[in-house]
Amino acid sequence: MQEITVYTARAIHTMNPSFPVARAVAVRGERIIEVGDAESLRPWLDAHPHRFDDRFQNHILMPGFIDPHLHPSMAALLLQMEFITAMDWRLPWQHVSAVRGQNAFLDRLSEIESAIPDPIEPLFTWGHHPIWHGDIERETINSVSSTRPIIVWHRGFHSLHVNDAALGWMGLERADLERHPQIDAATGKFFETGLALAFRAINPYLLAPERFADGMARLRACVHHGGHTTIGDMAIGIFDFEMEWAQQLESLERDDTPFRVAVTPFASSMAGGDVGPERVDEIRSYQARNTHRLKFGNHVKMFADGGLFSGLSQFGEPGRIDGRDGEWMMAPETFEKVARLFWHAGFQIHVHCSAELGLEMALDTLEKLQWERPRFNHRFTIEHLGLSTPEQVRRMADLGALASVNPNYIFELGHAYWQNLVGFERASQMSRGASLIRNNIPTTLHSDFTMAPAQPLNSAWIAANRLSENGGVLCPEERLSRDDALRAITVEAAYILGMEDEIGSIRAGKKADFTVLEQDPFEIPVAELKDIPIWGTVFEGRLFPLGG
Amino acid sequence: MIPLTVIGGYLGAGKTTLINNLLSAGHGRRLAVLVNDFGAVNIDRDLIARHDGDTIALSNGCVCCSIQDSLGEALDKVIALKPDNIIVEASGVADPAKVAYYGQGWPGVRLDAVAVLVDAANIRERAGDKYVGKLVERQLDAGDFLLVSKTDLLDRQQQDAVHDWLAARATTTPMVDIRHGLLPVDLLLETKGRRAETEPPDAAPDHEREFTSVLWQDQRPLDRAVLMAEMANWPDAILRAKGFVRFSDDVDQAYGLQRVGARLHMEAAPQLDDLPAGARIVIIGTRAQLDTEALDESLRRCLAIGGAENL
Repeated sequence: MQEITVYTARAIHTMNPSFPVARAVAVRGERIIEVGDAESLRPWLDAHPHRFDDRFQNHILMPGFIDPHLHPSMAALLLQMEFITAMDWRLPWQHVSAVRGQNAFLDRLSEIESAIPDPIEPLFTWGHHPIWHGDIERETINSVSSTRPIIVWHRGFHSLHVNDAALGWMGLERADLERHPQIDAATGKFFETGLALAFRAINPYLLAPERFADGMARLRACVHHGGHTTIGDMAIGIFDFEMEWAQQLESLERDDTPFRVAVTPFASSMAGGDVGPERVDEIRSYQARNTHRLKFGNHVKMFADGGLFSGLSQFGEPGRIDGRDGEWMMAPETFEKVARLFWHAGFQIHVHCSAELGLEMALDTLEKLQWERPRFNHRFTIEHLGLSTPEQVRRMADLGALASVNPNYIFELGHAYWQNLVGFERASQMSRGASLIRNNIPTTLHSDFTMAPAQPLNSAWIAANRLSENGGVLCPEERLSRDDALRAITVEAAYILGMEDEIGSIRAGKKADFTVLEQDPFEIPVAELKDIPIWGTVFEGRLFPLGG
Repeated sequence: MIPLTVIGGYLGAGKTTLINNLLSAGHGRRLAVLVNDFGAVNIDRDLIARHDGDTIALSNGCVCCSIQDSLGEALDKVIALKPDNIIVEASGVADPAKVAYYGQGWPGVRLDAVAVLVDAANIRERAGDKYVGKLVERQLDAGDFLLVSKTDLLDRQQQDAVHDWLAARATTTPMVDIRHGLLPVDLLLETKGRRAETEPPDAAPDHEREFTSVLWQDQRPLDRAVLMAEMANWPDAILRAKGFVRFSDDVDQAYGLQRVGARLHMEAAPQLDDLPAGARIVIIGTRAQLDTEALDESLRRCLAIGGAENL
């Protein structure tokens, strides 16, 4: 039998409240044998060959971090682009320093442009935001290069600007732009339905196998650097289900990938159409594809209302300041019908809900289904939980719903929603925290990467501090405690993915997944959570140092 | 450019029934129909020539293509087939005005009209629904004309109430009752080519009772400004007008004219032998309401007589 390795550490935070802190953990193969200290481990060690490994004696061990909701395919697309952003981004291959101001943006763009040898290779940048970088126009980008196609992607993904070379590369004429109501020919701006015309050329380019594989390799590095050992792909098939599955197999099911992926398909499709019982069978059959790291379960993803970043959420009373309203991703009747299909088949349903009316529709449906066919432990999960009311939180608890919260809305959208969309009272309570815990709702945090950095400590930091990007605190009453914030990226995330028997805490019998930290998240000020240096991870008993 | 017609309306309003009829009716046009859900389209097996993946080719020259997740991709696919018309079914929760942007901006197509189906039996209830009320109202606002279905499920009084309600909130949008998804194709779709401008539109016996068409021609050119002013005041009973006109300020150039509801499209026509020296316009309207005499008077007012000083 394999030798037991005993890792000693400055502290091991097990996230098991009944055995919270330890100094040593015994690992055999991919599993934890026991956690405790050198003395308490004796019975196991006396009976089996073992060795002590004290390389972590000055480190802190946490259960391997889990982000239950991100989008590898979107990330693989985005990570091919050059980041020019108003905030610092720590990428494994590069530290992206914040760039602010119009001139600084153009200087950085020119610098990147001149470093690419091939004069006609398209250049994609991501991160432009008018608040920080001023307006950008076709002519300005032309001044950076008249030969290289340059595509400047907006931070929020909902618009882009291009130069003349890019128009040529896309096969578009100026007349094409002039007649399109959602393309501004003068400034080279594509938005809303106009984007579809840009994607016609861009998608085949960025989704081409070798480029996409390169993006996936970068995604793999980002996930590792965030300290994850498990992630949830909360909607495979955004571009093309079979293509994405094949790419994940190739890029992630590898011996050097230090994490596993819980893969969740759309209940129907991105377009939210109707489906029949054969769809349940189809999704069940995906489980036959499961590999060591990539696993489908009895989970499906559904959508209520449009996203908060795109401003298409369905708001409850009294609506928006500007009086506009949002969109349904699925017709409410279709939503109910499809949810019923999967509810009766015993699935765990994850519902994207952005604002109050979207949440209301999801909860009305859940209540109806509970009435028709009561289920315990159904784990119907509200994903994102952007805007909500206290009464809806209580109703979630009454109906047994779980919460997977995107705290980044507070940081990135809080101020803008306060000033422009819904005012302070509602905006400040976006992405609830403490009230969920008070109602005993299992609560996890996610990044929705690429919507926010794939860094669980960053998610925990936002949820525990509730700072917006301009430095203000939004609703301190909803702050998660330090312990709840750290539970949300470990043991509660495992629960929401239905994997709590295997991962999420450090205890005998679970997978030996650890995130190894240089500082103790229970000791440092909570305002510094996001800055804790990560040594690396242990995935199923194997060491994966960062940069090693 | 291929004319593109958007068919919108909430779930259950009859979009699929209408599309089924369009695909199988003997109108002789090669239509490309883009739908959200293949499953619901019920095409007669004998009509199917080929079925591969997301496209069904019919023996009558029509194709039906599923939109999947990308309307742009589906459009490119059918544009390559050079159909006479493209019809896009907007999803039940889509704002048809947004889908119409594709008709206004996608290379190779041009927006003909947005037709919005209305379920007479429950439109008022839907418009008050807490989830979809605002959406349903936006859909009504987006229509160049409204096609009111399922009136046969209502008694006379209920029908009047629905019509009154619709008329009150969409004062400039014509509406037409349709039964079982039947509608003259010439009313719904812009007709390409010259055939339709010289012959009355196809009038199946059922339709003849409800719709009428008028062919108006004159050898003289029209006054551009007067025509615009007259058309702006045409009544709701005029559902569609199409044809060719010349204007007194530019008699060498004929223009193709398409007017659907209040949406007007005019573009310079290529030089052809049989274009009229003046104007030739077919007007389709509801038989019960269209005042053909008033229409004739309206068009005669548009004639550019050549200036009173010459008389």
